[in-house]
Amino acid sequence: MNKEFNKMFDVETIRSDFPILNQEINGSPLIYFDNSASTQKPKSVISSISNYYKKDHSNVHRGVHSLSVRATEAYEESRRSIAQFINAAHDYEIILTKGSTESINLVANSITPQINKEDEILITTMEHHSNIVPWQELCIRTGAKLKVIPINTNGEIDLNALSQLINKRTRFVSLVHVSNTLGTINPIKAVIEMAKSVDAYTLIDGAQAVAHMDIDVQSLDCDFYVFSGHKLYGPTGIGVLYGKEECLQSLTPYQYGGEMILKVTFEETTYNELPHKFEAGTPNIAGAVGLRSAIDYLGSIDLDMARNHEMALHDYALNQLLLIPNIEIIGTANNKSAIISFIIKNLHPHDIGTILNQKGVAVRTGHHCTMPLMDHYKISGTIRASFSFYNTKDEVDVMIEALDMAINMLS
Amino acid sequence: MEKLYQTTILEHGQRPHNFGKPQTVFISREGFNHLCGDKISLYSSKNKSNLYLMFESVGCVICKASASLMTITINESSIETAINTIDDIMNGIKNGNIDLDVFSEDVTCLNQIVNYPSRINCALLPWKTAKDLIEDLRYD
Repeated sequence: MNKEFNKMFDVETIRSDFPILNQEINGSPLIYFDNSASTQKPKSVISSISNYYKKDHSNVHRGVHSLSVRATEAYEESRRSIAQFINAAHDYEIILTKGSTESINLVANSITPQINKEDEILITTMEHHSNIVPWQELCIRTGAKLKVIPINTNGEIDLNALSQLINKRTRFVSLVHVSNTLGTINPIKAVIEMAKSVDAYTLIDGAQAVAHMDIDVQSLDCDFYVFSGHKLYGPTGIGVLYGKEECLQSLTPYQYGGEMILKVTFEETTYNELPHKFEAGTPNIAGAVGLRSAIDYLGSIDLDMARNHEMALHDYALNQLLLIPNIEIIGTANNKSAIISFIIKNLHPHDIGTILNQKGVAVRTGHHCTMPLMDHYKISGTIRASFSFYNTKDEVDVMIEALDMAINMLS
Repeated sequence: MEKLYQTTILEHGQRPHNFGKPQTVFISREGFNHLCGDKISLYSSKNKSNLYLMFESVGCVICKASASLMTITINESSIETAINTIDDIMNGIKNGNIDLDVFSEDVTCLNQIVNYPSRINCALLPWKTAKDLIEDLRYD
């Protein structure tokens, strides 16, 4: 059943909040369909960062002067806002990082003393490299085994295979909430329940999920949840590691230095409490301010209508794409986000992407940092269009026209 | 756009010369573009005194065309000439100034790539891989 466009959703008003969209690329209006790689920023986010530097900037924590107090309040207010946004039980369960990649690295590094060579780590075939390599390295350090949950041809996790793979030796299950390449929305609640049954830790990579669905980490009951600010209409260089208090407490620190200590002598160091134990050095204060502003922006629009609009765009684009001869959609899960990956027989994604760019259409081409998934499908890359609530049906039509032109030029 | 996907590039990209694996492979080398996942396999069917390269690729039109032009340009050259040619062409691709007085008109079509910075690595991959292979040959 296709989602229909809701005439009540005023996409032009939304678009006026995003100044970057109002420009031409190669003589044509910019059509930005690369939202899975990074979303654009509303004016309010841009001005919040600018205002922070104009009015409130100093280093956070420990300062007695007014600017330091203001910067600290702004930084900690961001943490509170993020905690509410994903319904964490406590503000101190929110660790601010550079992004999803650093968040996963933090956990995979800091869990090292708890892992031994009899243990097994489970990931899935559709993981981003950022949720593969840190676990490979953990296995190299500890001798543990990395096991991969297979997917079916539609790009859905094989839960039967998972039930065969998961066992008493499974210490960690780490998987993506929404696949950045396939758009598959994984049944993470079921996976988390299976992991709990064998007392394994769970980490959910929510980089592609937070902008497109409500996240309630308490309801999910995951141990860790990670995401990046820049895929949530916030700035780059800021991200989140949510961890249950007892899980974060069990981890050793990731980096050492200022901020993360309570007391230092030349003989020994006492580590700080959560969340500061995991935030060594001066943090990205302006990034945190911008991320809070992005969350505020999402709170100011009708998210239900916005998300319906994204899926209506997805369904419309998919129907149009399927009319193109020799097209193959990569990722046809029943439960999908507004991401479409496709290939056109005998034509290379880079050539298509370059020609689309000449018509102002920004799509991503290549392996999308999921090389093992490309191997699974026996392809070198795909063309990926990923939609946001600021995209329009007319833009989809332009992409389809540009695709026709590219195919004619290259065939 | 027509300038990039001009006739010469399309001809070499869609019907590349020296495409395939020779029956006898004296030495081979794989090239990989980690940014996009493109791969090229280069094969030398003869020894260092008589350079002759063939290739297989899952690359884009630009990569295949560049590989085709590379084999035409350097096959039958001496090792030293081939290395110098590769250096000249790689610099020419990066700067858009492959010299028509020195190289064939077909090869100079690669001068357009500089206007598409995200595609320069596609065009360079065959030449880089050939240089690695020839270095292997030289010190074999």
